[in-house]
Amino acid sequence: MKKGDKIVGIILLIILVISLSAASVYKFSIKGSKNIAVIKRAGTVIKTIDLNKVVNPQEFTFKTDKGHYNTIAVKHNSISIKEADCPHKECVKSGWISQPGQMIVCLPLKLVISINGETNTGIDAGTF
Amino acid sequence: MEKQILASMLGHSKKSAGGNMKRTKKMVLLSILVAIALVIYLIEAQIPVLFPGIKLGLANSISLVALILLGWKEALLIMILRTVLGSIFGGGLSALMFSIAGGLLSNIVMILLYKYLKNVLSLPTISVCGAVFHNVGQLLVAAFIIRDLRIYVYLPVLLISAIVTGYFIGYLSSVLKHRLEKILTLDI
Amino acid sequence: MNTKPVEKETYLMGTIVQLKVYGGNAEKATAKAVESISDIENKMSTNIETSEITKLNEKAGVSGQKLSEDTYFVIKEAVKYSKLTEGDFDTTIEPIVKLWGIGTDKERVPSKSEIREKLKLVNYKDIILDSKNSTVKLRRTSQAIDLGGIAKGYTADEIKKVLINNNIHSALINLGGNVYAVGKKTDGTNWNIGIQNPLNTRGKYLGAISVADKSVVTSGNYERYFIVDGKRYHHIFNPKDGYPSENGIISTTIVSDKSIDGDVLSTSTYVMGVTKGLKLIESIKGVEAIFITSDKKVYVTSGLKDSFNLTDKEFTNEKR
Repeated sequence: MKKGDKIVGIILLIILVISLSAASVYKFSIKGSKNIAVIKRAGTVIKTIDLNKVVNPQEFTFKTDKGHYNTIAVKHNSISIKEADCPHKECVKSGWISQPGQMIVCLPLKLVISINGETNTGIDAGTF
Repeated sequence: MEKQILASMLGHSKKSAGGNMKRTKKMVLLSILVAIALVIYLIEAQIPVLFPGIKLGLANSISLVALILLGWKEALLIMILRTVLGSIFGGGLSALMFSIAGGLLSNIVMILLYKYLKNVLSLPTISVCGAVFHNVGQLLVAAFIIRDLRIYVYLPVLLISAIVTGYFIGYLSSVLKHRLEKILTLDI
Repeated sequence: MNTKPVEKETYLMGTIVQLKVYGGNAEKATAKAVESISDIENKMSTNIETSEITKLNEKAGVSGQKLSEDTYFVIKEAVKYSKLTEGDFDTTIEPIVKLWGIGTDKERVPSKSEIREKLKLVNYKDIILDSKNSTVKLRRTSQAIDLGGIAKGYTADEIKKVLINNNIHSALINLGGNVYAVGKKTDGTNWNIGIQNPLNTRGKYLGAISVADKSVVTSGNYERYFIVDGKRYHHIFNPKDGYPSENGIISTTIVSDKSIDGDVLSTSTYVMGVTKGLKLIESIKGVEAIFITSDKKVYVTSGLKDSFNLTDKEFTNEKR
């Protein structure tokens, strides 16, 4: 063990403690705003994605047993329907959503994407 | 001392001549090191980490070894080659960015520390610093991609993993170094 | 008290139905509620060949159709509102709805003459009600009834009845945006119902109202539409001219005790416009409204001023 080692060791330890406490404080404060996207087909959950953890943009496709499909795109904190073979593509027109409470609906294919998490506004339900 | 280790590895005594042979053997050694680094890189790519693209940085251990045996230019060269080749094997643009950022920062830090402070710091420590900066580099790229500095929430976890892997690699490197030194002294 | 609700999401009446039911008997009550929705849909949908409405429409100009209590009641209410709104709500609008085909793959902008032709068939006065025999007849052939602007509201009221009969005192009914907040929340506080921002994506609200045991129904130009040459054609038709209603209003919300009233009035006031619409609502006891216009103004009736909270700064409250 050389004498510099101890100094580096202490510096690292200090940085570790600081970053740990900063991270804990942050995690505690954002307790309400996790961005979890829930994808449901006909009311049944088929996938959940933590949008916070998405770094690289990804895409995946869900098919119905009748051969119809929705292609979903995710990037950090956002999700959208990129393509679908429903007649009106309302779902595609909806664009990206990124906040709790928001929804994308593909009615013909019974696909609903919603973002869970505490809505700061405390809304129980919404009209449409 | 390290140059002597290399010289003996290349099969020459301290007073060797024959530039061409030495250069070829040096290239061979470099290639082998790049290959090893690449294999380590590809294997560690299979280890599930926080999000796609981020790596443990074990391949940087080879750069440390190269730094000790061959010098800083070679260490950087190996890192760059390993990164470029590694991205050809898959991973995409973001994986490439993570590797370059992590590799560069890690190597530069280790090179500087080794050059100026090698008498004050042991190998494991230098390696730990390299590993830490490897992860800092990766987090920087991630923060840039998602345009959100809050990614640094992952710093504690990455720091701990850096300290552990860095120490492990540094310890291995110093063992390697001691063994080679022993062989060298026995040889003479 | 058990505060975890029974949540059911299903697809009925061409839309997402979401039920959140609290109470010991929630499981059973929810199942019964879903049954009643199917039942109503089978009676009143124009998309179901065997429904009572389809049969009624097929016999237009020929004979009457005997109807179940539900269907007869709904048509009767529809006629009542057609009279009240002087034809701004007209349930015989179906020929126009079919002509435009919004929501189907046949949607298009019909020609003036086509619209003029079909418009002749739109007249609520041609609905002949026979309460003794629970029968309804349409006077002329090719006339047709569409309960689209009233059925969801009726269904929400029926669901509430089912829930109450099954001992439920707290629930949230959401039929594709037609909301009924039954009772209060389990902690005794009012429900917070978000009002959809007509200019933003689904789930983005421009404000909320605090209610207990009330129906909240919105009609908007963003629910069903198609775009041709940059112009949006939505599904709320003006029965007087056969075109999607364009008078500045882009969304109407009605708060009432009965959802059937809310459904009809949200559709009617959309067509009536701000002035006539506000006048009508202010004249009906127990019914309140929020109108939103394309210039981002929000009009709120007097009874709602204290419980409506506008949160989106892009919109301004209009003081009258």
